[in-house]
Amino acid sequence: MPDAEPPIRLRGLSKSFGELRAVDGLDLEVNPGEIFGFLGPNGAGKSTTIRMLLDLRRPTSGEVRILGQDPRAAGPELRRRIGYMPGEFIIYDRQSVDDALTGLASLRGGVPRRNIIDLANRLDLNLRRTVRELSKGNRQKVGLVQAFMHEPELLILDEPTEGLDPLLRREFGEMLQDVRASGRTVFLSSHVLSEVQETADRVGMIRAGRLIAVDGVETLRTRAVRRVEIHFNEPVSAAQFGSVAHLTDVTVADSVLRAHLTGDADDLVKAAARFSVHTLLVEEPDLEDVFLALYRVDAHARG
Amino acid sequence: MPAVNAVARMTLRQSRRGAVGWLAGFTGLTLLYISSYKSVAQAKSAAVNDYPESLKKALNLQDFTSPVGYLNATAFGIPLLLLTTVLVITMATSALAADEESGAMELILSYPLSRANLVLGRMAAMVSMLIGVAVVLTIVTLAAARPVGLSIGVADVLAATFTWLLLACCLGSLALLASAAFGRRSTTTAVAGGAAVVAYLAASFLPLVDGLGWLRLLSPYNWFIAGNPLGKRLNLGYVALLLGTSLVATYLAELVLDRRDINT
Repeated sequence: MPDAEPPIRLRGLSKSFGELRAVDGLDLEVNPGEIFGFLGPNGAGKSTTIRMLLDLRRPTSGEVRILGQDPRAAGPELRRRIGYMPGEFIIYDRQSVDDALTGLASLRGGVPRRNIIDLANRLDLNLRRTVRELSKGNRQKVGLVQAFMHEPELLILDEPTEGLDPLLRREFGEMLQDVRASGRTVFLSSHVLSEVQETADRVGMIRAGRLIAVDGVETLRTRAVRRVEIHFNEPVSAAQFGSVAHLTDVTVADSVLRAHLTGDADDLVKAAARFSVHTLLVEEPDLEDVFLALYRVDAHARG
Repeated sequence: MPAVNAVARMTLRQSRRGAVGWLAGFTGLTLLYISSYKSVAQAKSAAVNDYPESLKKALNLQDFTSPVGYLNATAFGIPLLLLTTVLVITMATSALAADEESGAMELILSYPLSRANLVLGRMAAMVSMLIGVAVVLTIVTLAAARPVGLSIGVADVLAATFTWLLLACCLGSLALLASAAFGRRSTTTAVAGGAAVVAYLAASFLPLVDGLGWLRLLSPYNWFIAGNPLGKRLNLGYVALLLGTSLVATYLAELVLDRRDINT
């Protein structure tokens, strides 16, 4: 029976280290069966937040509920239902990958061997290698296998794709889709927006310990500033596009219009349709731009 | 407790390389002293005879020529205590503080085991290793004593190695408490090592100072030395003190680790 409560619910979650407020009044809900991307630059408080979800660090104030329970009170029984991949995957390294994973599986009271082998094959991870010989990317794979191997209800992944090559990132993306398809939930952090753009359903952005936006990836995309370029077959003037909604910075040269579009394109298309259009270019917005735009707004608002 | 068991087995598996070295070290030390019983006992006792009585007492060298006196001064004397102290501090430091510092503890504690499980598992692994050393000490002592004419009873050696085991567990649990409290390799080693030196001085030289005789009663080293298990078999009072301290310190280590943030 599914939990009535969301897999992750944070209320006013704060964590201070001395004077420093690493996490500052976080309110957040992650829905069952979604992939939630937790975005922010390094040092924004992502890992500190994640560690509080796992009871590795205790909140200074506020509340954490994971799968409807308090991580500290629920203890080991709750962590049985979670798969965690730390930002830095450190494990005793004078052992084979196989021994490392089997050892970790025994801490869970055993995991079907089939799961470990399937995941290792999927990520192209050689189980016979010694952990200390592994590259950063291969080490990440071990981290991913151990997080996924017991098919947890909730996956918490701190910068999971760091060091993975593009092919494996795609495979990882598919692993996430499989998790979602089975109704399980993923919470993953990243400082690379394009990754989250590809995989996540919703994105929360954190900066200096504060959540500055939570939105669907699509919504964020429409908030983005897109560069538009229209080549006409006849002369046009900038003034003819002056009143088009969401269009700014309009310039026209040699019947080529260049402008920035922030939002819905409908008005622009209708305005352009009055003329003969040769080429229409709309650049795919980058979440990086959205992010930076939001930060700038936020920084401005704070003075 | 399956989680404790899993942690202990994992810990032992990962430390088997070091274990072989330590067992060889303890074997070598014991063999070295016992095999030189004849030559050393006479030469050394001649030299030691000129020491002031208080110094002999402090260094546990009063009676050098009898088998028990010889073993208490050598194979079961200061060198063994020193090696034991280094071993337990090393094990206790890597058990918690080193893992916390490296980040390995973060992963383990995201698994379904409590922090108390982790401390108990690490302590269980340490005790298993120490039992191994105690068995080796017993066998090597008994096997080496006979050929060199050092006559010592099986029950006496067993009493000594058992009491040694409790001493090692006691020192190990105190070092584990430091490891749990500080979570840093260097701090743990420094504090545990410093405390061991003070505890040893409290069992040896400090009581020579007028009015400080009572300090002896607080030192785990004294609980081992003063009971003289080799000569007098088990002293139940000291056994209880060593065992009790081990249990209390392990419990406190659980509490301390459970109450704070894990700082990677």
